[in-house]
Amino acid sequence: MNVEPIYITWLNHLGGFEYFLFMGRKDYETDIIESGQTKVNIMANWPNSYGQTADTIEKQTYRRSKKSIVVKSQHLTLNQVEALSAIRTSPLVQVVYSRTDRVTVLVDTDSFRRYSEDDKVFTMQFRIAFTDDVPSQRL
Amino acid sequence: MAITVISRPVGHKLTTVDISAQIIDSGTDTALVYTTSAHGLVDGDYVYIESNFDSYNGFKYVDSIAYDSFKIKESEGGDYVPFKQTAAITFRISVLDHGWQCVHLPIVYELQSNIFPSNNPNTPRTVTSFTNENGYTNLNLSGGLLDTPTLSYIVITGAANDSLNGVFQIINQVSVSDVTIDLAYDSGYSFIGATVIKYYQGYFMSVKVYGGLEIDHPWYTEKPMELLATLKFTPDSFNNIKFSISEILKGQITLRNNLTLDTLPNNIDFYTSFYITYTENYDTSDGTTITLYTGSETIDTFTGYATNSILPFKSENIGHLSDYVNDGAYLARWLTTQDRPVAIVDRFFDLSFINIRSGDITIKHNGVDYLTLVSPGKGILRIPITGFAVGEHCFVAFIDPYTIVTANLNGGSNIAGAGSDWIVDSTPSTTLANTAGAVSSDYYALPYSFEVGNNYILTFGLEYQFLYAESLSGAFDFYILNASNVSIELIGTYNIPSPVFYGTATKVVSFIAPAGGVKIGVKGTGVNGSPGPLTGLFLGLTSLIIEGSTGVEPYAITESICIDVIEECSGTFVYDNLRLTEGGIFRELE
Repeated sequence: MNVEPIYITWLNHLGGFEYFLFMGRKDYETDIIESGQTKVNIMANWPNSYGQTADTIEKQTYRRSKKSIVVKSQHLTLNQVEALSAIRTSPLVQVVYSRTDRVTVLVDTDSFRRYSEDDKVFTMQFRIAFTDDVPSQRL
Repeated sequence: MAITVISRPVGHKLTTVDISAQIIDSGTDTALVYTTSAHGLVDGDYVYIESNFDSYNGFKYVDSIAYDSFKIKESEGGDYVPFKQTAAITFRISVLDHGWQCVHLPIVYELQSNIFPSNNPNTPRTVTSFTNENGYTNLNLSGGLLDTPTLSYIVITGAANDSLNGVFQIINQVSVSDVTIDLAYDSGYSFIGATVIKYYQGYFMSVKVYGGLEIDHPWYTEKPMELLATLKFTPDSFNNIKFSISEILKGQITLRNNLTLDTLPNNIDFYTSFYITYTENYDTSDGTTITLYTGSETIDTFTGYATNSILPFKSENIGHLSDYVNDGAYLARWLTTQDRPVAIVDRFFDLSFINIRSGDITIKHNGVDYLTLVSPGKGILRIPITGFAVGEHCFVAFIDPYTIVTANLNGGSNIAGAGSDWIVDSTPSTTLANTAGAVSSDYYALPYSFEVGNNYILTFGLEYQFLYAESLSGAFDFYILNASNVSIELIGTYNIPSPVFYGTATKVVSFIAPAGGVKIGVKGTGVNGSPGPLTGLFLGLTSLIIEGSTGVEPYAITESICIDVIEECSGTFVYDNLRLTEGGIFRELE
């Protein structure tokens, strides 16, 4: 399938905004944040609630999840690695679709290696999670 | 009684030239910087010193002594740096003292009282004798105490018996040198060596913190200067208070990326100016009642600017954005961490820089005018970089600077005519006649030397009041007049909102100075009901700020920043058809 680049902006520590187009092949994921379930009261509808036509003893009451993307870069220069590392330390990171269409994302909080002195080429990857929940009813 | 500002959050932009010098003893145990040749510094300059000794290092205030020597202080109001030992130093000179700093780092003031807890102005007295007054100790002093009626306080220090040292209340003032204090009498007391002086009980400094945009900022109405907090401090044993206001100012910063902000290119979300006022307070007695005395409020003359930024630990400039503001040949850096940012064709991209001056800004692209910003105001400017083809593109910001003058409205005059007269003082005013129909005032005329063809921005402070009943309408009209007081051009009108009984307003007018224009004219107009209601309409000018381009050639205020614009499909500089060999070089795949 085609690689869809993702254009990201982030607030730098000077008060300006940086931009970069990430061209690497990404992983699209869904994070299940939490879920809830409850036992059905089988007494209320006994014996139908337990017989051959019964469908469940437990009920899922809600599932909360968010979409996330593991963003991977193309090959970078050392200066780019240093600058782009700030994505993971910035308090404001957004995916930019257009000037009027942007979405704030939350970057993972894992510690990371920026580069090693052994490296001949430089890349980076990080996970971003969208702040909105995947639409799902709550029973 | 007085409060002195020991230090303010002033930043310094340094030259790149290191000057060698030596620190020696001035003869009074204070450090003297000896340069062997003319240093060219004057009182109030700042330098940054590097040496092998703590006390000498860092930013220092200069007190010039001779052409080849100067003393140093930590700050303008601070003490001289003491001499520790002779040392070789290098120093750099500050070319710009500025107030631009990071709101996410401390923004620190230090103030000093001269009366609490150590009462420095008053003369301490000694105890010549003491007696028993109804079981309490009556002190006869070597001289009068200043302003110590009954119920006020004194402090005794230096007594050999430590139980006699401390703060005591005067329960009866017989005279200024004869007081009875709330100390149980004991004939065995010894006040030898003790001194007595007035003590300012309940003393505290109140500091008000103001934040927002300055009144001459073009976006003042979006974020007007306002009182953010009132702080109370009790001085330490050195009579000092030291505090940071950055946490208060953070409330003026909005952390968001709003690319459709009404004020763009000025990103006022990320910037606020600020200043403080200070007042001292303490308990005072009239002999029968204790009340709180509040001194007169002093407005500090320093205005600072806080931006949504933070500098790394061990930055030479600490929390000041000295590398990102401009002075003369010392250009400001753009607010990016990338040496060479990359933009993508047809994707939105912008670059930011800090503008510290009033005036029109022109962004040049590869030496050619790309974008002109008419008086965008101080702050963080976001420059959209769009519509460029693949290749290298370099940008520099230039400014056509404005002068800013706060007009002395007292210097104007009423041009006699058929209308109501202006009363000319520091806030000129007129009251329109309460006759039926249309009414107007004479011209108020303020002479000003315009440069023909230059841009000007006038900011008027206005006041109005309908004296009896609401008029049908009222307005201020603003003109440029010639030497004969004839209108050359109507440059703006402020219509008084109706129905409003009383109000104030700010009106900003911009224009290009016409030939022959030598005065700023203001006329009030109104319409009264016919036959009624009739009213008198009061119109007043409370302030006028004049910003005008100086006629000086525009000059660069930022460094040049070059970006690479590339196509979306070619997002890398290390091509995928290359492979890394064991020898560490890239070989192109066949």
